[in-house]
Amino acid sequence: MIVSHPTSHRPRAARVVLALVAALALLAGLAPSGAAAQRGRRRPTPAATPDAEGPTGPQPTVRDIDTIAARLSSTNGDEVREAIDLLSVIDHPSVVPHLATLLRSGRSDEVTDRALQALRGLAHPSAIEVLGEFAHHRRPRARRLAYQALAAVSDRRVPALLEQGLSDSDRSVRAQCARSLGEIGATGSVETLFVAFDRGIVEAAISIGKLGNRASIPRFHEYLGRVPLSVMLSGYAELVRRNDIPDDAKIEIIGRLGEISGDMVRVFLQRYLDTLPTGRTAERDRVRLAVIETLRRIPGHAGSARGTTVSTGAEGTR
Amino acid sequence: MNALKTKGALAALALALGACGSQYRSAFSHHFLDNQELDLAAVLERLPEPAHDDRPQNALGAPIAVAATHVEDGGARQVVAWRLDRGERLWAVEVDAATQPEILGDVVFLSTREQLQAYDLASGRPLWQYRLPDLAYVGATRNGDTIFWSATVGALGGARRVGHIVAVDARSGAERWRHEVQGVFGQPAASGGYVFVPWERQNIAILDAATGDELARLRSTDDVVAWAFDHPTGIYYGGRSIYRLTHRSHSGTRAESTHVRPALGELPRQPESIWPDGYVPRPGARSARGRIRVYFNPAPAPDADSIHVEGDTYYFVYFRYVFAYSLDGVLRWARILEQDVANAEAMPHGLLTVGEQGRAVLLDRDSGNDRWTWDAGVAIASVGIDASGFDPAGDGGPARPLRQLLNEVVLDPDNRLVAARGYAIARLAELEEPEITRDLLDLYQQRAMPGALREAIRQALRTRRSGQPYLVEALARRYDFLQETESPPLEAIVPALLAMRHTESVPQLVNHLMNHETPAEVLPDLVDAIVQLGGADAVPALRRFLVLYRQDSLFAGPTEDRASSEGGQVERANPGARALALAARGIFEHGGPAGRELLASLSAERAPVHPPLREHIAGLYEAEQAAAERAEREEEAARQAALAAASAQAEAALPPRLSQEQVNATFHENADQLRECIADELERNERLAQVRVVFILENDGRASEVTVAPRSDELSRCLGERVAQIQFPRFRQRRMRATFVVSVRGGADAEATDTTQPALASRAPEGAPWFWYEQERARLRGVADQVPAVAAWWAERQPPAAATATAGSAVDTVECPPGMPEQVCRQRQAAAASGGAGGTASAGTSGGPAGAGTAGGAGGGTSGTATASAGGTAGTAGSGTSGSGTSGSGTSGSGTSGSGTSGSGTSGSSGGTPWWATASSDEDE
Repeated sequence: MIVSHPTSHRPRAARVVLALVAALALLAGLAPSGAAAQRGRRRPTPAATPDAEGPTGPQPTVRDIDTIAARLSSTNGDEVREAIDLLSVIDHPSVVPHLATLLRSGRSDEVTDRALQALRGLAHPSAIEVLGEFAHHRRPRARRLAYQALAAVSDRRVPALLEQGLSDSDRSVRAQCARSLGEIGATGSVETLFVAFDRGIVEAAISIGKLGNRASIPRFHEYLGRVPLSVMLSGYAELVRRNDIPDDAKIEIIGRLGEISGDMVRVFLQRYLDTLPTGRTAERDRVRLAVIETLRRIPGHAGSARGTTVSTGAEGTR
Repeated sequence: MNALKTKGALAALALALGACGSQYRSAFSHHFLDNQELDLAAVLERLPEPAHDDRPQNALGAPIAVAATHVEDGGARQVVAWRLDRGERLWAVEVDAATQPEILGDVVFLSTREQLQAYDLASGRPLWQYRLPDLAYVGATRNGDTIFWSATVGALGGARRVGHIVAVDARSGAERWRHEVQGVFGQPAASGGYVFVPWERQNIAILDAATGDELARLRSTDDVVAWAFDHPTGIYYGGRSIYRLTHRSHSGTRAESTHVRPALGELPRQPESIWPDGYVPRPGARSARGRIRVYFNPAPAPDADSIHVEGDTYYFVYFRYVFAYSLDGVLRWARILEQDVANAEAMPHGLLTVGEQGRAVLLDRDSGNDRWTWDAGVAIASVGIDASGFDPAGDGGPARPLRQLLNEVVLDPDNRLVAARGYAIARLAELEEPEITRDLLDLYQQRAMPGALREAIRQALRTRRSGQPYLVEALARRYDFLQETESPPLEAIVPALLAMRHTESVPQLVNHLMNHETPAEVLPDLVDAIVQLGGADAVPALRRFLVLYRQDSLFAGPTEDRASSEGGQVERANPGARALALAARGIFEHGGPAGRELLASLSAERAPVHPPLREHIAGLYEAEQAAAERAEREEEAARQAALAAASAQAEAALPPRLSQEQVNATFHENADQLRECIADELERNERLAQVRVVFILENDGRASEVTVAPRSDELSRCLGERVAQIQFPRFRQRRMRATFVVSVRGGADAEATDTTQPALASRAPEGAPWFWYEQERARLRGVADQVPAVAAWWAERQPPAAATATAGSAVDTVECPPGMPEQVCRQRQAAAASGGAGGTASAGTSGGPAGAGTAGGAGGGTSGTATASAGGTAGTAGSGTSGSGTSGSGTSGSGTSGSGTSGSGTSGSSGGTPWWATASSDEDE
């Protein structure tokens, strides 16, 4: 059965909350599960690619590095940016020293940011040193980009550097580091993430959801009521999606959310329900059943005691 | 009968006038002489002997406080009297007191808005009232059974200024006398049958207490008389200084009077007077007036030249803070009281305070601790205290460290009293304990600390010279969001470390420089400290900083505050840009060639640097160049000044005019130029024997108006041109006339021309008769007349070299002949020393008869007197000093006589005039 509530009939505040939850869920849905899979992943850097619309010459190679690197010292910003882009296309570790030299030579914000993005694309451990330096740059955006680039590097030193970023005075840098710790699967940083969560770094919730183990869940529950529900849901969304979390723990989470109830929880559970597998085994899926049951108990829900229906998904209504 | 009536009427009139005069004209006259020693001496004679202020002055003989209450809920105000030693309330009356109650013997005296009121001290019973229309009561005092009170209009300014001083019976209020003047009176003092009335802030009129007549007057010529009060130890008056009335007071000057200026330094909200202003009534309602003041109690002085203070202590009360000082201004203790102090009284063992909520506390003189407390339980607006000698049993206990006490004052959260808390900070910083540096840092980081106090702490830290480890320890802290730690207060620490020249802290300062958590506002101070403390060692860090942020957007903007082009507003410098500019300056000063190279590249036209920074760097070079140019200019100016000074000195050392010897010497140096003229003339005039040149010498050494004898046109033109080209020595006189004579003829016959007796003497045959000289002279003249024309001497041989003998050698060689007076001898030697050739020329001229020298000169000379003089000099200089001197005998050249060669004097020309010329000069101006 389809749950069909005309949104126009809902209060405005509820609509805002729903939109926020939807955005968080979408964010959570986009992020691939499995923290370990995040580590060392190479990312294309759009800003660091040659102009796609311009004439395309022969692809630069390692042999062109010195020639291109010479252009990094130009006083023409456009020329420097172009050289950075070409170097990033070469995608070779020997590009790192040139970019490091460029960064240390102190250039405009645009050039500095471009070079940091290029290092993020290269994701080579040899860049850690210069990225570590720029993690203390006075400009927050430069620090944020440096931490992003660090997070892209697969190296055992990275989690400690990212944890250090949680102490930064700039909120956006702290958020970036909290997210990055989750993305790289820094399971050893869960304790620090809890401290950060305690200090109000809400982005730590997602990372805790990604990295925390069974024992982390009761501790996470303690924040219910202390931090916004939307923040908690972002962490719960990660926990319930993980395969390494036992069903009992997930059912416990669902039960706690059922106690809270409300539109936000209902939408969250409904969307979660939509992600659960359907089919013949679905009838025996305890988590699914728990979600459905919880949804039924939430006041105002279509399938609740007041006579609304629940979309189970199993009925092929999606 | 009529006559009797008339006499009686006149007597009555006289009496009336006399009475009128005594009442209104016997005091405060502008005709009264002030500062009269005898007047004052008569007063001092009758003053009571100084005594200790060891018992209350009131009629009960007990410590009494009489307060006007403060009613906050709209009830009636009262005046309440307490006996402090018993904690006993004596009485209370409902009255709205406008001034602080005063305890005057057995009377309590106060004013309401329109009248003065007197109450019995023992019972509070009203005694009498006095209407006071349009007048402001100022204050009162008492002597015997008389109360003297003053009231005034316009004490604080205004067009109308009227003062009243009135004597009334203390118990009945009956007026005994009064004065009204166009001026302002202060609160009077009274003692020994005198009333001392401060008047117009400059005078003290001393009146007879019984009649009101003025007996003496003091006038301060260099200070303000803001108050006066009577005390068992004497009469005191003054402003910021405390004066005691002594026989020295008649001087009217601060220096000559007995006075003391308490050395309390700069107090917060510095009281204008060390004692409450006597021209302003003490308010009876609650007021900030009087809450900030100094308390002291005079003690008997052993002599007339000093002022002593009970307990050797001054107390400074600032609302509810109390500070105690020794006489030399050393802070002993500081206390915070629970209540603002309404009034206090200094006593030998401490300070008795009465708070606005009725709490009385006796603070121990030595420790500041409570010796005695009592609570009246009444809100007090103002209070009069008479508690001298009150010394309840009790011990204040041990004194706590001043550091702790001052810390408490600083930390007191009463933000009304920020000025006094700032004062406590300054005094705290003066203490030497190193821990105080840490205390100040801790205080600085108190979140509730007002900005003014934080600034005061910053300033105080800069004055610290101990406790650096605490500053360095604080530097180790870092901002950490997770750990909830804050950055250290670099804005306070860095200037302090810089003031302490703590170079060891540079590495930590560099760490903060590169730490993004360091507030941007601190960066300029930080870089400045690194540059100053680190010098060349800090250059690498400065380079990193400068290079990294030279183009960063956070560091854009002006490097200095500058006036905006729009509206003249000041555009503030960006602290980051300012820091970069300071780093560049540090590199410029300490970075050596590599640093200069870096900066040169950054100041290039298209260098990737923020324009203001580029301009600043370029400005460094320009400033350096400008400084170098300025230094060069200054050096040049100094050199010119030195030259000018030397020139002036040389000018001063110039001779007033040239001596003949100097003229001669100049001609000798330029002989070659003249030679041709005379040689040509010799060809034209074979009989030419002498050429005389007369000319005017300007003081710059130029010759003009040259005339020549003989007056041959060719010779005149030739010599005129050439003499004009000669540069003579300079002299001070504007111009002078000079002559120079060239004797052309010479040879064997020349000797004949010298027919002086000394010249002839050498040739006189032994045993020659007395007339031999006349005969010989006549013979020689005849020979001279017959002398045929001969070629000039230079036609045959070159002229001699210029004389080279030094003045010293000349002196050495000039010997005086036996028998010559010593003075003459000295003159000769001096002339020889100063003039060289010139000196010898004159010597030769005048002293030719110098034995062999003269003979030698005569023999060797070819040219008349010049030859003689040269020879004479040489001769007198002593033979052999110059050995075979070439100039003398050599130039004699054609000298054929044996005497010429034999005369060792010929060699003397080395120290004498060349043979070929002599000259004379005449003073022209």
